[in-house]
Amino acid sequence: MTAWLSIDALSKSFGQSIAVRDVSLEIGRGEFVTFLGPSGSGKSTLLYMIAGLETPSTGDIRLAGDSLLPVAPNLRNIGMVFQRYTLIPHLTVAENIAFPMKMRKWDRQRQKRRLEEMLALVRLEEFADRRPNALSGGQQQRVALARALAYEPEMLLMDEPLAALDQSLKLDLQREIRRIHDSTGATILYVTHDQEEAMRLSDRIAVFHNGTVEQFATPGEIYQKPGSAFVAGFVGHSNLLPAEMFDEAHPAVALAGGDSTGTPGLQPGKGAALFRPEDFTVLRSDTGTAALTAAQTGTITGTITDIVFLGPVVEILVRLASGARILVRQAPDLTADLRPGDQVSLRILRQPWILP
Amino acid sequence: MQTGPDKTRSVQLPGPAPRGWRAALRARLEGATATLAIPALLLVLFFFLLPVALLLARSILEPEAGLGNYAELLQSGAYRTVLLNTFTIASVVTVVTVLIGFPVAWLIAVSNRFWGMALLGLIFISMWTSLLTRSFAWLILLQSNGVINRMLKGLGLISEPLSLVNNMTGVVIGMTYILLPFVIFPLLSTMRAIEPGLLRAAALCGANRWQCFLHVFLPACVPGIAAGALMVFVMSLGYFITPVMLGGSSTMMLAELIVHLVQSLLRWGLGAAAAFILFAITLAAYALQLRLFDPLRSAKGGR
Amino acid sequence: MLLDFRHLGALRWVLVAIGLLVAGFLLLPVVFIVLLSFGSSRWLIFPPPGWTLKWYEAFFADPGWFAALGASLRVGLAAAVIAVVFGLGAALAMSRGRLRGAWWLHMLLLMPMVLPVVVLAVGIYSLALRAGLNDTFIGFVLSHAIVALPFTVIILVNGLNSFDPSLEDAAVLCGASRWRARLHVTFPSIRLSIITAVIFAFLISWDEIVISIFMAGPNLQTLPVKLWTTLRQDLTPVIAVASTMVLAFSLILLLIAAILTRRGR
Repeated sequence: MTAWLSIDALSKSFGQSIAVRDVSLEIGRGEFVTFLGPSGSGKSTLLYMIAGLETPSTGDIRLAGDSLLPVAPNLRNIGMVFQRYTLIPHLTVAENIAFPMKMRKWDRQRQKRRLEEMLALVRLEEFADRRPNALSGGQQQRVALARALAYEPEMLLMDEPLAALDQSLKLDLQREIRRIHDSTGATILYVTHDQEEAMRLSDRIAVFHNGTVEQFATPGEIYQKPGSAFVAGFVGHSNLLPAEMFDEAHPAVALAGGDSTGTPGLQPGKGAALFRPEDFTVLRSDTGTAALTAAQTGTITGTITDIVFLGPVVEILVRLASGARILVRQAPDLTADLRPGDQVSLRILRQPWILP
Repeated sequence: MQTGPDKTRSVQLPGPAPRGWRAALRARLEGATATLAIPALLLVLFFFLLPVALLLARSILEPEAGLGNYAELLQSGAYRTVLLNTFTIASVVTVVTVLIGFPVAWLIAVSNRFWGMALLGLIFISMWTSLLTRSFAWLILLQSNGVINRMLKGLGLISEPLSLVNNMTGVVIGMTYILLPFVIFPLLSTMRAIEPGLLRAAALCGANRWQCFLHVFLPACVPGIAAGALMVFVMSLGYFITPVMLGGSSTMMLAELIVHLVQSLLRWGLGAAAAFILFAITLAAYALQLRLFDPLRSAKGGR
Repeated sequence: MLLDFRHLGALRWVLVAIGLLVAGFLLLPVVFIVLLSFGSSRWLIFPPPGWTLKWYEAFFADPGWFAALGASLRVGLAAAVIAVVFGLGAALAMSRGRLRGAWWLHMLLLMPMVLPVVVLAVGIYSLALRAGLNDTFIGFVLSHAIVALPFTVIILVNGLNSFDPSLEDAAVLCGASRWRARLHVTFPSIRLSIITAVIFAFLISWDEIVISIFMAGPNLQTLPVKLWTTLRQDLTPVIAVASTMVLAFSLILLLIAAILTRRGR
């Protein structure tokens, strides 16, 4: 994918504190990119700089080759949806959506046509003449979305747009945003601290930490091949076990628990092996010994310390001989006979990812 | 936006800006929100800081350089009487307003919405209506053949008319009337912030009503009393209209002396020095208040 | 229990009695002056022997009083506009601009409120004498504006702080310039604060007397100054009429402010 929006060595400091530190990203046209990270990691500041509401300290932002920095925010042709519903309270829904078109002095016919399209896009036709405060939070945010898209911006920025909504509404709007992205082909930059939301929506995710981008990759890569311990910990649950390559000829990893597992394609050296909770099958030590001995890949043994039933899955906490704890998720019907205190073997289903 | 030129300059623009310097200039002008404070600053500079500085300068330069004016003010018997008057009246007014304001604030705090609002509205109105006209009304009311004296006589409480005006009594009545709201408002907000559970807990501990009042309620009101009292005291020190109208020749206060020195005697140096003493006392009092309660803490803005 | 009316026992009746007395104390002068303006006694005897409108006729027939009324209205309006426009600029700078020293700026702008008016009056008088500003419209307006400025700053900063700045940002990204966004979004949203600020700034100028005594001259005097000078020469019922006018105007404006605030809620 060729770069359309390039962020080039961008930094922003407020007095002594550095909010964004030397960030470079290349984003393709029509891509849905999420900036994911904890609060204060610099993701919103970067978004505000792209919008033009903050001025970078150093670095450049280029759109289709031209620098955006000298362009005033109102001339950048960027749409933005904020966390709070930023509708203009004294205007109706229709007037709010038409506001950017009015500012651009579109002719009346075009305004009217586009307004109808937008109302249909966010499915709020019957609310056109209501005031924002007569709408629910989810509806208001849909109006804000329609307003941000009305003038066919080159890019849509969203700053935690769903953070203030409750869970079921969130899922609805996530689906809606996905649909709108597919039907408009807009480039969307989306800021969130919710990793599940990021996974659900994005083509690619940039994981932010302390003002820098730790990893910029597809959701699958981020989850399965995280670039750092921070990414592994922030996206999904991670079980990290110290690992060491012990034989270059037969690549495998020695785990501190005393077990080993074959791991092709590894660089020699020490590291940490990442297992996701669903990477194991739990077997009672007194049963299925036959299966154990037959196992090609490694197993790890330990003691169950806790079992939590969550509906679709059961979370089992296993303490290894080394003292490390491992969280395993299993289907409930596979764990019916397990109790805390049981000795179990964890069969490794997938090669672990070795963190650099 | 809203960044000083130092920050903008450090942006490295690769090559010439595509939309030209005009757009860049306009963007910067639009972003320069801080410059919007300039008109207000100029007004404060020319009509506040400059006049005050001028007064200070005149107080030490006229008629000759030195602290002679201040020495004269503090040494001359007549001027010391004025200072004494000022402090006496301010103290009496402060005590009286607190004594009256406390039960009124308490009543508003416990009364229902309607009556509370009605009383508050009345107090608010008297805060924002002309001090001159209301002082004038008191002048007429308090005369020896005025309504108050005739009413008291009619009730048989007095045989001879009391002299209620052109003396300290008149000044205290008038200033208490004018300054009462300034002690009620802070007291009320303190009382409203008191956790009702606190009083209930004290009652459950076995305290009777009087003990409850003395050991729990009153101490909890102290910040409000202090804020209100300080406010009233400082404001009374600088009052001009009411003391002039309702007071007599023996109750001259500092503000009247300043005006008299400047306007009638044209002794600018001395008048400026007196004004500066008043200014210094006021500033010290407010600095004390700011130390105790920072009114701007909640007023600071920003994203 | 001490904060619950029903549990105060006999004490509540003591409080109610004090409350009634104070209410009477606050109302008495205002009611008295209004009644007096309709009384027929030349010597301000109360209760008056009869009722009349002749003092009102005298007030409006006297070009001096009438001119003072006009001057007060003009000065008040101009001072209110200046105090609100300047105050709005300062409030925007303090609550929107990322200004180092915003706290100090705020303190500086509130200072004129804290300073005893007499000190400010003498200071401004001293300056005005040198700059030839006394007895001029502009001198009156600017010196009243400085007294009103702290109040407008307080009201407008409160208004802006309760208004979400990302609304303005959203309008800018919609294509409005910063100023158009303010005009279309920010100012309409804080219009209540702006109107309230105008009303109170006007009221401050309308009632301002100490600075005005120094500023006034043969060309220009406001209604309170005229009242003050007349009062010191002669106690006539026309003073009661002028006082009633001053009070009535203030009450009407306060009522408007109260209604607006209620509606805003």
